[in-house]
Amino acid sequence: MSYLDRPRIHFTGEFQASPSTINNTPNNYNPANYNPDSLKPLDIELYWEPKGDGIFDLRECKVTAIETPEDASGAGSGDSLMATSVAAVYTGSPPKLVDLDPMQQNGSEIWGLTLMIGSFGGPYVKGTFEPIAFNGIWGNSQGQNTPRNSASGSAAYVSTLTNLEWNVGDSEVLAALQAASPERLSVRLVVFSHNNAPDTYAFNSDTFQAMAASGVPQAVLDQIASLADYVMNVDEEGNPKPQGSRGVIPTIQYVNYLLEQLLDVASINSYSAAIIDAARLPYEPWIDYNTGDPLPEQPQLSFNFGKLVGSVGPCAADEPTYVVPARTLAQASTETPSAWWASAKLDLASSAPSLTLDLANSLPIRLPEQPLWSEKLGTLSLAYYTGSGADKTYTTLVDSIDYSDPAFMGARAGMLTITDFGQVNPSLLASAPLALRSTVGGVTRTLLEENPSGLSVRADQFLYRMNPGMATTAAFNRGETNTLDLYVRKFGEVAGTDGLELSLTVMSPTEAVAYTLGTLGTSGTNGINEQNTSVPEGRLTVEPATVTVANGRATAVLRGADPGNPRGFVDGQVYFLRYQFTPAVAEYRGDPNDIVSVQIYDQHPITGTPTWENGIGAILTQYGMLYPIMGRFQLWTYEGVKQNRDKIERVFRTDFSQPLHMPATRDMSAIRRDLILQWFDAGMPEGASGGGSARDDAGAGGGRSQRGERGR
Amino acid sequence: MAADTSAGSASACVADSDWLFTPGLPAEVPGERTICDFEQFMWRSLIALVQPSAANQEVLTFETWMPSYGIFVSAGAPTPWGQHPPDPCSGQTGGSVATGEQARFYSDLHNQAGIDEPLIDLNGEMVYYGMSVNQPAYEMLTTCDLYKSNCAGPLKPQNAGIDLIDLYPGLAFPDGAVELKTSWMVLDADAIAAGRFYSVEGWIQDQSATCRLVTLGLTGMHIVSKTPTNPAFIWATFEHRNNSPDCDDLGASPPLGGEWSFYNPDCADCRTNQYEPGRPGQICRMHPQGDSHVGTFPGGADCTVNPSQFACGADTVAMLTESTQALIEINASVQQLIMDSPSQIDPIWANYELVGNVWTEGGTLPPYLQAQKGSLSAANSSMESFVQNGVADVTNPYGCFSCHNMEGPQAGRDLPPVGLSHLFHDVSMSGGCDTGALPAECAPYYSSP
Repeated sequence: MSYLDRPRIHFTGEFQASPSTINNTPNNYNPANYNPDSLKPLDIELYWEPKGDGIFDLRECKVTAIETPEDASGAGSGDSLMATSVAAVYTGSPPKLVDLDPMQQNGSEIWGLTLMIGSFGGPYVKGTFEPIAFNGIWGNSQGQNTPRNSASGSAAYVSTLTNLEWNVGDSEVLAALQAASPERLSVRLVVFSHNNAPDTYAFNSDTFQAMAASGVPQAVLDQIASLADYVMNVDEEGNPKPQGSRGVIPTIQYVNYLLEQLLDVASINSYSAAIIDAARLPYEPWIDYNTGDPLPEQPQLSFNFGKLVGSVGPCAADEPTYVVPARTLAQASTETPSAWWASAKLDLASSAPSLTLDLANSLPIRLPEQPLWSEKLGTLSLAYYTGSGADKTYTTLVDSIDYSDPAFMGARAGMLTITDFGQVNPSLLASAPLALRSTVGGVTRTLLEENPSGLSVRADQFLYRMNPGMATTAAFNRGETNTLDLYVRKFGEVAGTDGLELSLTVMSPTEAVAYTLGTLGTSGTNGINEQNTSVPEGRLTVEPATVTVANGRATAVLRGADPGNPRGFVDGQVYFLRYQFTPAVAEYRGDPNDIVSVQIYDQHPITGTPTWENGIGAILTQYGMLYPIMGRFQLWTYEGVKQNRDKIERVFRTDFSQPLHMPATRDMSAIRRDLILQWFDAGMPEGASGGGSARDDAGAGGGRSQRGERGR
Repeated sequence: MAADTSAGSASACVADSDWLFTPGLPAEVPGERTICDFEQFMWRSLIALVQPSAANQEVLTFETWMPSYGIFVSAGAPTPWGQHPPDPCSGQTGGSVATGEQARFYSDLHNQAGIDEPLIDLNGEMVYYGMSVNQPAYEMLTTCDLYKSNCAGPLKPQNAGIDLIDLYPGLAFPDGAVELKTSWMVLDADAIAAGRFYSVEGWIQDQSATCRLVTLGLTGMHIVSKTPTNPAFIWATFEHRNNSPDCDDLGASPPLGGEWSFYNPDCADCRTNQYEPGRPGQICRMHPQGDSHVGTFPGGADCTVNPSQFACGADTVAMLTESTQALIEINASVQQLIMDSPSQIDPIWANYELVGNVWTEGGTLPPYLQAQKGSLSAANSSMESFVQNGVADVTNPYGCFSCHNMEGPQAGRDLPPVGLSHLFHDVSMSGGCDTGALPAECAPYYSSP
């Protein structure tokens, strides 16, 4: 059972995602690119949210449709849960959005999310969202001038809700869900149209003149002159991108942060408003790429907010934590408009057979925030086919899917439930591949379809963090080994999968670079190459390399050995694992996102006894560099850390699962974190004592004691 | 009888003169439990607390409650209820000590909660803090041996001990339990003469552990009350009206005349609400009346910059606006009532105001932000001076429940409701609960549904 089954609740609304972006390129990890005394950036790319707080949250989400076993219309028959809120509920700190690594930004995880469906004082169910990264990321916005950034992307989170708390009240759907699966629920969230275009502020000769005209003294302007050097993005040659954008700084928060570093309090109090007013640029981020002019349509969603649709259904106790093994319709064509992989479930066991197709993350739009692209999709039909290759015969099941009804996405979360099979015997579909087809101007083409064998495979989990030298236990799943479970289905069923084999292959550096720079999440990132990606080889091993499917599942053991410090200032290394049927399945097309990514940390970031000068200072300084939101704690000075010890230690000791865990980005190895806590316990020694020094090439050691090196 | 002394409409949130004649703390929020009902409940609570004690007319009711250091002892047993606990300055007669009498206040607490840094007033003196509980809370803490580390278990961060989360998920303070936290500044001769503060003789121990007997002026008071319909407690905070100006009105004059206690209008290089070692705090109220949708936002990203943030949502704004209006009205009304009733209550209490009050809708536990009502950014400028937008200065709303929230050691493992209190951070006695269970006498506190 899963969200592909009924009873099912749909909700729609908005989401917030405000990750920090200075950690978006390995180049920004080098302490040489920052002023050692203030951490003021000297030569980095800011990207779009340099002072991001890492928050993931839901906003204005409501229950918009309810499907019961008896009623697939979504109307909910007056259920009291209808139109109630769906929210991330939290006390001290909101949930966090977390990337694995600058070389793998194609799978942002949600941590610390407690999802509540319903309202306080009324019926509700509330549970812990098991942390998972999104998958199925693709460019769903495909119009000519769609923004060339993640606003044009869409992705899906599939996970479970655990630790359920039920207050069923008079809600029939909650009662039915609780009866079906009291301990867990299956949840799928699709996020898209995320507006990551910040307000921007220009610091150039024109705006400096305007500031002067507003009464800002030249002495103050001289103090902020360095703001004209900042860049949000550079090309491969290091030139500002787009051309002429040097001096453009994103977000009021980051501008204020920089002004606080550059000006004294009196100057800030007197002149910051005039400076900001003069520097603020018009907010028209979406442009015609041919002319450079603003588009007539601009973002309606606030910066850092996007659209969200979600569905929740039952989940049996013996089902996977994350993946929903299901029938899979694969992309059949990359021609625009293209569609993306979709899941489906045929239910013949119920008294009324049904077929459910999840299209929430599968259909294109012209521009972010716009409806599904009906102009280009034309009539969408659902069919099954016989034959294979170029010799296929399609039989239509649904001749026109009413996807252009705003309720299709806006209420039913992109979920199509078919109960009327017309002349087709639904039992036939148990072994017949499905196809989603588009007809425009009398021409029909297939957007998505199952392979003729109906086979599908997907890993339960696709991001791993491994700390070599540390044991993996039930309470700590980030040790040097881990289990990879792969689920295989044939037309959505276990039957017929026993004995199938899968090969597991760690990508070479060449393959890894090609893969990660080809993803929507990581493409365009500077500083990624074959010399620093997935090297040294052989540190990630998988046993066995070929696994055999039994009862719908195949299992392998991942083992991470110490990669050392091949990336200099970025901890450890990232490796990528590909899995595929062997021998290959005819016409099998896997979602290119179906990759397992493994972060293996440096086992010995500090040699000898940790002291501020021997490693600890460099680790915390880098933390402060990459996350200026932590600026209050002066992480780059021994005195600052000593002053703020209790606050820093408290959050470092907060469990990885908690929203308040620091770093919020969860990119600090358990090895480094333990060293810091040991250093606290040892009384925070400052000098380089203890018979060891930081390794010269280490990320930790590389930035060691810059203050000490200056004889302080 | 209602004493509608405000200039507001009939629906204004006003005081009732009956409060001056009805002894004792209110047990429950009255009426329909509107926002105004909660503000009235808390002003009525304060009025009850500042009445002379029935047992000793020389002291006020709140001064008879048990200080936390009388419970969380490192050895021996807690001080019996009704007795004054020994403190490190007890019996001292030298130095500046003027009399051998028992001082009414003792504190060595000068670091603020959440940030572990002191607030220094404009005279260079640290602000001191006191914590105490009423008898129902005292009985629960001592009956359950929660002053012993093995019994307190996860209630004290990083502490071992018995697994209260699994064994006693319902462990809670009883209805009627109240915790107080007070803040005090050392008054100089001019301040004493001006008579703007409720003041007491008190022993303080500064960072060098030196005992000094000084005159202390009350600058703030948290009142945290549990009622049958509010298992997450009601969290209210009162301030002296001359503490600090609003951050967006720094030119304002102190309403009681004289000077601001924690803001120097002549300091050009002072950073507001940031602790600087050894320097007086330059404190202003970032969200007056705890109203998250106005005032000083992190990084300047207010509702015009980011209208989609939680504090700026339509429902949130409507609730906050009602809360702010109720606070303004009730303060004006109570202050007038006090000024009009000098025979019933010391007029000094008109120099204080309710600056924040927050609770959860329907008694929701844990106290999720989404269930909170009242002043979501409730903060006392003398107690949470530097964390009004969170410890990292990047969070809004940030209020009482941001820390007092039952958060357990891992996601999905919340502390029992007793964990809303942070008194257990002071547990220093080892042992207790040798059988792996709380004392049998504690059963009434954990067996409730």
